Amino acid sequence: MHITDWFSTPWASLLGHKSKSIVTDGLIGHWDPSDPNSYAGNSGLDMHNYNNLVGIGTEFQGKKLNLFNGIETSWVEETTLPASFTSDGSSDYMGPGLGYETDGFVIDTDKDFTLSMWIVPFSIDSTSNNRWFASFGAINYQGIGLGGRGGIERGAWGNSGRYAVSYGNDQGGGMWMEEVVRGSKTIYNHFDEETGNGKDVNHNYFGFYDWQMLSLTKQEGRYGTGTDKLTLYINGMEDRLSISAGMLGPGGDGVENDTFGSDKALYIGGGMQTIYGYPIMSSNMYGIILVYDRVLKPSELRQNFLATNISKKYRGNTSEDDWRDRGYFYY
Amino acid sequence: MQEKKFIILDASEVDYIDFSEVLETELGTMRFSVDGTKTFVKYLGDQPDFVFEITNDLIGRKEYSHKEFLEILEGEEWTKQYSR
Repeated sequence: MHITDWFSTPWASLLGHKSKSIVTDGLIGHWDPSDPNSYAGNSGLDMHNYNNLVGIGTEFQGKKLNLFNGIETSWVEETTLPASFTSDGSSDYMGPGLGYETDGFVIDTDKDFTLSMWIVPFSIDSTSNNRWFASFGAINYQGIGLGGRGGIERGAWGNSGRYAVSYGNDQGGGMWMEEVVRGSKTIYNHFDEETGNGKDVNHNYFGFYDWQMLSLTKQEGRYGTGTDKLTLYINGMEDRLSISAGMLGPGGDGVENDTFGSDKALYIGGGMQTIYGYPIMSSNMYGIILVYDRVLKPSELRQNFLATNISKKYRGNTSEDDWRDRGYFYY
Repeated sequence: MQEKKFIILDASEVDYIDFSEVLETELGTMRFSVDGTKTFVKYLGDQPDFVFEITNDLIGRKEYSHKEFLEILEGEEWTKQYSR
């Protein structure tokens, strides 16, 4: 249980926190690195399995994420359970094996859903490429998920370090996250000395090296039968998407729903395309992951943020060579 | 803590890989270059024994650090580049 007493304070209630626990209505996917029922440890037969905590007696029973290619665990000394998982950005990911996508955790992306994840997205500050943090996708088909976009500050790509609610195209490559049509926020473009532009006041600011809970909701047909609504939340607060759509700029929150293609498997740490393809991997730290088969309300996402945010005492060790926070969630 | 190291292999050399010596899980999830002719393995500690079988010498293959290898993966040989 990751709940501390301060959650019961009136202050938390004022923020809309209605419960000490996460929302369970519509919950179909729940992975927690510090829950032994979710991850049993890095030895034994179950060491490559990241088990779904919900689903007993449902179609999601046994729909685990597989840990591939050396994705690392960061351990909490007191409990011998991992505080988080860390991907190195080369080839490691969580998800189904290639050729076994339907055995993975699959949802119908045509319909409503909510995807939330705790993450430290530390790979995005050094690349001009798009990176998936988590995505629902399939080989050579479009995907939808949470991602980030790096770029050199004031470089050709414009604002650097933008979070994105994104989907890739299917122009022969599948989940490239090439079409970042729903870019949302600028991370460190606080002040541009060259242009004199000030802080991006339209979006919230969060750094590359902080734990944060990103959430994506997709509401089917919100803007008519052909257009769904995407909403991005950062730490339980909506990060308002801009009105105008643009291929690589901040876009609106409507998205043509013929882009998606029914059942898609969940990938964490990247989006695989094909064995001879171009996986868009990312280097991040991962905490709790939650998936719902409905659109959570803002108050519910805030509740989940508060219910899964635990204290710094779970933070792990750093070293001289690697100063990144090894621990769990900030508050 | 042992540093993670990377070496590049030809795609034709994958049959040599002993997956107990590397961090990759299986052939089916390995990453290949854009043209499919190259792949890589990562490991902790010394270069895996099977690499010396491939090179047939005691030198092995050039090793890269994590940071060095991420820069390589950013290149067009390993990552589809954007034209816009």
